[in-house]
Amino acid sequence: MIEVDGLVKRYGGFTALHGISFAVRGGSVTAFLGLNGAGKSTTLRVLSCFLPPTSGTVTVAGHDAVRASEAVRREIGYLPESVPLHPEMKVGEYLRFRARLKGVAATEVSAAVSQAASRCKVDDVVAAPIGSLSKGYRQRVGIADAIVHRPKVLILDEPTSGLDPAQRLQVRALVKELGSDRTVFVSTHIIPEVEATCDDIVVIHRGRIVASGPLASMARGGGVRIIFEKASLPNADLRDDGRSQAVFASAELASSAAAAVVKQGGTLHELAPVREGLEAAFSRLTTGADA
Amino acid sequence: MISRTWIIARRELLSFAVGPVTWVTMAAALALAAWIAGPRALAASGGDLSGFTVQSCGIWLGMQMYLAPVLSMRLLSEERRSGTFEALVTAPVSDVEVVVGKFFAAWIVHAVGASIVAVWPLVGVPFGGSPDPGQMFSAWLGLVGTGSVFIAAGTFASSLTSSQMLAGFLAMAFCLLLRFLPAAALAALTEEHVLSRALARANLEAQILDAARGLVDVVNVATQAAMTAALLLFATRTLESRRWQ
Ligand SMILES: Nc1ncnc2c1ncn2[C@@H]1O[C@H](COP(=O)(O)OP(=O)(O)OP(=O)(O)O)[C@@H](O)[C@H]1O
Ligand SMILES: [Mg+2]
Repeated sequence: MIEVDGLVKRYGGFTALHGISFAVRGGSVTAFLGLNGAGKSTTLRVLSCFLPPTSGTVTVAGHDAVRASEAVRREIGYLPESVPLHPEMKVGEYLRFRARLKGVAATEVSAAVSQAASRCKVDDVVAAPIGSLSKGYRQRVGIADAIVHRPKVLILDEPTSGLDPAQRLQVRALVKELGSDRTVFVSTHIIPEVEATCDDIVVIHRGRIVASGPLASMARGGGVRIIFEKASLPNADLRDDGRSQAVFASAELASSAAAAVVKQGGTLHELAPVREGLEAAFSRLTTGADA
Repeated sequence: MISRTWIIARRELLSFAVGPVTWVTMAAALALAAWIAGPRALAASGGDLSGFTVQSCGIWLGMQMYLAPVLSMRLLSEERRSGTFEALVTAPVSDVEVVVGKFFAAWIVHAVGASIVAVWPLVGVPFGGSPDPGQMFSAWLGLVGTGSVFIAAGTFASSLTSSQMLAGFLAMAFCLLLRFLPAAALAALTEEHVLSRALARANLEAQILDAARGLVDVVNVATQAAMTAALLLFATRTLESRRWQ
């Protein structure tokens, strides 16, 4: 649904994106993960046709972001990082304006607005001026704006930033729900959020893509581990809790070792694949590429 | 195209409507114009409503020099400062639609004031005056025409910076140049110079005098339209170039 190929973006002399390439599958919720200053917002601004690429190509829903920018903009709903809204307008007024601007037919505007508002749980403030809203409400008005014209692709730049934990959970659930019937590409640097909501991830570090693929493949396999007691194996280590553990490259090796433990009269506590958590994978990816 | 321009203009009008600045500025401009024009015009023209129109149009031209910058300075600069510009232009709209929509909103607000000035002579009716409808119409056309040039200049100024203060000062400078430069340049040139005719045509002061006297001059209208279009084109180009940096 989104294809980025060799995208370079320079700001004057500073290169923010060094020829990045990745793809986002249609119908997926894909996280765009990176530290502060990695280039997430820059990438999303190119995807949303706010900034032109210095070079490289960006295709969204089959349209080229440079040559067919208006077609791309019709297909996307975009929540900018700063969630810009007009403070003097009322929520309902603003959403109606945005719906009409994005080409929703005049007869369908009311329905589209009330649907987006109830989906984002801002239907209780439609008559309130935007300037009087709390940050969490403002964020949700921004998301309602992004979905009001029922776009195929949603591009959200840190939708949970600056929210309290309860609001964060709500927005996270909303993003997940929105992903059920469209493609969502959402930037963040909060890892538990990714694990809770996303199918795929793309990791960017200092303007380069350092990993991308399904979430499951990212927390990469580290072999199979057994934990046991009252037995000895040649490659076992003693753990803090007094038990021993050994890691094997394959399940076969691990299960024959487990059989040996049982044969020695030992107790087998665990036989399970070792997973490197996403957190660990992320910190490995974003420090390893420093050099 | 037209509909999206109008959607943008309508939202802008809403902002104008809720902001006190618009009303205060407009009321102040009208009051000031009435205060200056009224007694002076009546004294000078001895109750002659035609002379009154000429006087009040001249004074309104002066009012436009500060009304147009106030109405137009925030059009684009404020969206850029607050970041709403990013939301605006990532919607399926073109830069031309954005610029024209914004311009149009400020133009409509200004036209309310200009229209009041154009029909001012009606005040003389209870006192036995008989205003000339043709003259009122041509005065109105002249006022909204020069107003559109100044507001387009302000829109251009607003595209140049994200500070509305700076945009306001720039707009005022542009308006002063537009008003006085053609006449000053004309004075410096010989009468046969190739530019003389063009400069004489571009003199907004002369145009408003024509209009106030009841003259509907197609060339004046076309000149104002061309100047407006050129300034709006500059504004569009500025928006484009800022994104393509
Ligand atoms: N308009 C700009 N002009 C110059 N440099 C810029 C501009 N915008 C961003 N940068 C630089 O480009 C780099 C990437 O910025 P970007 O905003 O894309 O990062 P990010 O991943 O979104 O970070 P964050 O998590 O803090 O939002 C940063 O080093 C930033 O300083
Ligand atoms: Mg960012």
